[in-house]
Amino acid sequence: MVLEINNLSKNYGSIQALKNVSFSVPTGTVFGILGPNGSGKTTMLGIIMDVLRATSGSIQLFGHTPTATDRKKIGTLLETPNFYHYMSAYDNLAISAAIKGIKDPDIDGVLQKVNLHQRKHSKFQTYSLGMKQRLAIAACLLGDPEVMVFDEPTNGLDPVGIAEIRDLIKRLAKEGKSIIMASHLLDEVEKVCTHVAILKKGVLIAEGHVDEILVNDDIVEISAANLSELQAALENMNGYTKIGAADNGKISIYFPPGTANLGQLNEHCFRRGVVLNHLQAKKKSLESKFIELTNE
Amino acid sequence: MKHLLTLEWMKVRRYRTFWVLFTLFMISMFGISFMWWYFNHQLSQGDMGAKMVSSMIFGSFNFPGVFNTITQISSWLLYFPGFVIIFHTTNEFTFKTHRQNIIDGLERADFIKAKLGFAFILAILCTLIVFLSSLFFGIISGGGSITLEGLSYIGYFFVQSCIYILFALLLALLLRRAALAVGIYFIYGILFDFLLALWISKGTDSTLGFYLMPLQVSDQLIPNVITEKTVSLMGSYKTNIALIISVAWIAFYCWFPVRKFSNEDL
Repeated sequence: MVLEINNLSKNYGSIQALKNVSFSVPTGTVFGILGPNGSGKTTMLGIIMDVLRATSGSIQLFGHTPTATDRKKIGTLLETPNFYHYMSAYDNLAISAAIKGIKDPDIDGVLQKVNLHQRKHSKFQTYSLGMKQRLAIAACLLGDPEVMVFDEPTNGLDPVGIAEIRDLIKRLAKEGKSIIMASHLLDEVEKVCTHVAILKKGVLIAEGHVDEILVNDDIVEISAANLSELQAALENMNGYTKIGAADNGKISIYFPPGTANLGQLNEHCFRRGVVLNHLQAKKKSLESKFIELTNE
Repeated sequence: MKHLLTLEWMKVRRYRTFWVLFTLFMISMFGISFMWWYFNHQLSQGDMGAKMVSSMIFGSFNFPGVFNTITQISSWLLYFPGFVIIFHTTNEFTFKTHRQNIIDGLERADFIKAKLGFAFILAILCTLIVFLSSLFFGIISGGGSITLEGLSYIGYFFVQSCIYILFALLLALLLRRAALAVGIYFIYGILFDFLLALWISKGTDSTLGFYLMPLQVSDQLIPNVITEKTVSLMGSYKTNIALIISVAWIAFYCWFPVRKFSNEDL
């Protein structure tokens, strides 16, 4: 395991930002920490990286209590890109490399990976938000660490930049790196991560493989002239997970992922004397899934 | 420590504000000594009355008295290296690089030790320029010889520099905002440290307050060249006790930030 979190809690005065959170991050995975703003994602990463003190609970990095030496082996972008404004990208990365104890750091190489090489001698204060974010990712790549921690890595990037960073993360994952990524974007986690932990108001509400946690039911929307007859016809149908209440003259039927068969459904209703006047397969939006997971 | 000082050097070598302030301060240290020497020189060329005023007000520029004179007048400028360290340190909080340094693998205590090391280097540089100024003005004034007693003022000046700079560092670490830290540092230094010392002394009917307050006790290490010759306001000071208390303050300024920074959320 890269990381093990045991009963981690953090209080800010009367506010409990994390409540007895426990999970493990296996080696070689892209582990997403998903949750809405204020769910405790950054607090958790802050505790892991020793900028915040836990109220209770414990953490193990690489199988032992974290030390400064462990942090040197991790490339971390936490919350915002933090650099000296009056210094160039190159000089800022030189400081990061010096702290990490990297001899002969490949600063030019990491700047090329994030498309900042042309501006390596420009002062950080002249950078756009997206460029600052890319510089922070370049800092994470210094020394080619085996573990990386990204907190909202695509913040402030334009669509092309977002795609580039997601590709970069996927590439790093293919190289066997372990990546821990916090995000409030379900779409991002689904596209990039192999595992996920979902936080809501400091509580871990789900954890596991992305395909298990972020599973999307098939939804079929149907309608008929007589809704009560339609509902009666559906009662003795098999294979669905739930039937929603009639909404605007239409009923939604939920099936396990990949099992909805519109032909069979139509035939089932017709055999029971109900003629459908509306039959449509709908994909549940990721946003609605996210809201469903994190709602009260 | 060498690694930590290298990191501090990497942080300041491109920091223009630091270099402008630092250069001005170094020039000012020599400049104020020159101004003092110049007025003294002009008066000493005058009649008997002018010569008496000169010796009463300006002190001696001959060895070993020049060490007392130069260290005393240079100490008036010790707020400026304090400002330098405040700007240098509060930058870390403004840019949140104090967090990034820890995230990158610096020990929390080492972050503060680097700042303390930087503060001591500033104090050494201040002391060096004062020593060189004293030698320069002593030589051009041409009289007396360098004694251990005279050189002791250079040592006291180093202690005084450490207290002023470390006190500024403590304020920067506690307040985290440059304007607030500079304002409180300056006002406390020129007024409240003295008022508190006076209040404690009046309350105890002694000179205790001037031994306890950090800036006052270090100021007392170097006798005031003006009041020494005119009237002693505070009575005679026991330099050894003042030195011990000053060193205790330095130890506190080194210990407290490390402890605080090691335990709090950053």
